[in-house]
Order: sequence, then structure tokens, then C-alpha cells
Amino acid sequence: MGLLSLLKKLRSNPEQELRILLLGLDNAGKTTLLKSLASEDVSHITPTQGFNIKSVQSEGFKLNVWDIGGQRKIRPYWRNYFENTDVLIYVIDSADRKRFDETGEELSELLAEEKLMGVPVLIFANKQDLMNSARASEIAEGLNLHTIRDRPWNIQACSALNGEGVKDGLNWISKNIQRKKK
Amino acid sequence: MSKFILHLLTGKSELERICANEKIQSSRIKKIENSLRKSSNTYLRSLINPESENHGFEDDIVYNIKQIKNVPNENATFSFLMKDALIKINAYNSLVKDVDFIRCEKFSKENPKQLKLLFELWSSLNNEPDFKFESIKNRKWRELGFQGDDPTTDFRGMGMLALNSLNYLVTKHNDIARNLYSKSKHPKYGYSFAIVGINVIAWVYKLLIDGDLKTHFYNYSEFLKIDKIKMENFYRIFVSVFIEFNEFWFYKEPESIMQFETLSKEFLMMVKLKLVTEPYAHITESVIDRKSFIEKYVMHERT
Repeated sequence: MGLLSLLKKLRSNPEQELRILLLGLDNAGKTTLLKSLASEDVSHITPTQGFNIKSVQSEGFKLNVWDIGGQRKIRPYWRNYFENTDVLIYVIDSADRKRFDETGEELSELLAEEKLMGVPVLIFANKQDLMNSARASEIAEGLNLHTIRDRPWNIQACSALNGEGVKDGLNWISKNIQRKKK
Repeated sequence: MSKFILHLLTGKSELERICANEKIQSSRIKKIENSLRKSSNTYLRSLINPESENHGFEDDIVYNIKQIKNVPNENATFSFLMKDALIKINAYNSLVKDVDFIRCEKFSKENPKQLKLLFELWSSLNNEPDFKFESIKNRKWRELGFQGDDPTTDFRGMGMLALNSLNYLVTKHNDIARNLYSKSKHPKYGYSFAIVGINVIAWVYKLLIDGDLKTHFYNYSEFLKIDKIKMENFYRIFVSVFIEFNEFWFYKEPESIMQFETLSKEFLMMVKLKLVTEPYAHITESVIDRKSFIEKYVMHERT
């Protein structure tokens, strides 16, 4: 490859920016995940009033991650952030079994949203570090994820607290986005 | 190098010059701290180490400093000011440790004292002195501005510091708490009282560990009578900052709670600015003189 074509290739392939929406119930671990993605200290987290946003560099992508509060009162505002979303990350507290129904309902409402049509969804089965957490496969079954046919989806077990599984989730995102663009 | 030249010219060490020339307490102590930190002498550097156990030995330490820096023995002002600085630097360092210790403690449902603190949040704001929920989980916590039915999951990284601070606010400053609580219920500009409170605690905590609150604590003397800053003085700052933020929030007339992120950043910039540009600043004074803050830093935007 000549120098010119190499330059051309580089120029035609500027760093891709992705808009990522981070949703889930309150106390699911969205902000901890956001900090974990940005390799920041996760020990001083507070409940999110409104939203947090961070830009994260990953595998040649610039991810602009919007972490919106999960409190019931704030959920009506979620829709204000749907537009132009490239990937939806949905976070579940795998140890909060009592709220699996509630989180499932919120997720299926999101998947029915017109503005999120076809948007790939990555579900993080978070808090795997807790003893009583449900396994990702168990959650996938409970939420009938296999019925999702209109978009790429994936469920990834993780612990935002110790970082386990987070990278695997990011890899899935970059693979699916690349495939989409080709 | 310039230190060396100044030393030649004045015949005085940097510490001596600071004590002689810097009249504002907080600025003087910060400069002394800086000078010690940068000192080439290991002993002097060790004095500001948070792990050092200097407490109670200040007179001896001042004597040592005078020997090392060749300060004339009869310079009593130097001795007095250095001792004052050492006490306050240590007091600040140990406050950081105390606060962090409480923050690291997690709420336990088995601890009756902590349960009492939690239920007092409800009873103090609702005129139900002996009220207790049958179990911790209850929908009513949402009225107080917790996210869900279990308030204890909202303390997060602030741990027991969150509960203690909120409890201090509602029990020790009940009028202020009720006022803030009712403002938080405003139909248009309302917010979640408890979780905004917990966010305010996180801000104050950050100001403390980043050293921004030195301006405040180095100026104060009265609470140093036992050479230690009481936790109460930390909680008072939380209360003041909460009041200020509430005022600021209503002044800004935000469209919705989704502006919290942007406005809180703007607000914190102002608090930091105040602590940097006003070396006399006592944050808690604004509890009484509430208007000053908004007038000084926000009003000009509208004119």
C-alpha cells in the first residue's frame, strides 16, 4: 500500500463517535458502570439526580455515554434522550430478584419505542460479585430475551464494581457497530 | 533559587517571612503548609504528613523548626503562629480521616442506632415523633425523595456519612430542613430531597478531601479549643451548602430536574471560586446571611 492510499484510508476512517444510552432501574449500577467504562474511581458514587455524561475512548470509537437516573420519577424523561442513539445499554441488578418483573417491563417498553427501533441492545447482568445474584442465562430466560428479533442483542454478565465482564460488553458493541456500518 | 536569593537579601527563612508578612490566617497557614511540603528537610516535610502523630507536641516541634531554620529565639510571634498552623493542619488532616471513616461504614439493618437515625428522618419531617415503619422497605420513603422503597440503597458511596448528615440536618436544624423539604415539593422546580441531599454531601466531601475547605477551617478558631474539628462543623457546612444550592436552583428556574447535572456543576464552580477568592470565607456564615451568595455570584448575570 502506497503512502497516499494509506493516508486516504486514514482520512476516510476518522474516529467514529457513538451515542450510547445507559438505562435501567435505580440502583442497577449505571453510574458505577459509567465510571468503570471511563476507568474512574467507583467508590464515591451517589444516586443520579438527572443524568451524567462521559466520553470514553474504546477500540477506535469515541463513546459518548449518557447515564440517565433510574428513579421512577425520572423515567418519563428517558424518551428525551432516545434520538440518534447508536447503542442502548440496559443495566440490571442481578441480585434484586424482587424487581425482575419491573425491570423486564421497562425493558420491553424501551424495545417497543419507535425512536429506538433497530438499535442494538446490550444487557448487563450486573452485580455478579454478589453471592445471591442470578446468572445471566437465568435473567435472559426470565426476560424472554430470545424473542427479540428486530435488532442485535446480547446479555453480558458483569460486575461494574470490579470491572469483570465490562470489557467483553464493549467488545460486543464495537463488533456489532462495525458489522452494521459495513 | 528565588527562595535562596530572598534568604540572602532578608536574612530570613521562608517560614519566617510568611509569618511576618501574611496577615490573613487561611492564606498564611496554606503557605506554611506548602513551604513545609516543598522543604528539602525530611523532618519538616514529615510534619504535614497526615499519618504523623504530632498532636500534643507542637511546642517541641516549633522549637525544632526554629533550630533548623535559625529563627531567633525571641521571635514569639513566629512560635505562636507556627504552633497555630501546626494545630490546624493536623486538625484538618484528622477531620479528613474521621469523615472518611464514617463514609466507609455501611448501613446495617441489624444496628438499632442506625435504624433510629434512619427513622428519625421520617419522624422529624412529619411530626410523628415515635413513628416507626414495620420494616425498612416502604413506599413512603419516596415522599422524602429517596429513589425507591429501600432508602438504604441510596447511601451508596457516601455510606453512613450520608445518613448522619441528613439526620443532623433534620434533627439539629429542623426549621431549615422543613423549609428545604417543602421547597423540594415545589410543583415546577421540585427535586428529590433525600437524593439531592446525598449529592450535596458528596460535593462537600470532595471539597474536604481536595483541600478546598482549608480556607474555611484554617480561618476558624473557636472549634479548635480541643485541637480537633468536631464532626458537627463538617455537617454544618453540608447544611449551608444545601441551603445555598436550593436558593441557586430556584433562582435559575430550571426547566426540569434533568438540568441538575449542568446546574450543580455551575454551582460548585461558584463555591470553589468563593473559597479561592475570599480567603476570609466562612461557608457556614451564609446559613444566616443567605442572600449574599446569590447576590454576589449570580445576580450580575441578569443585569
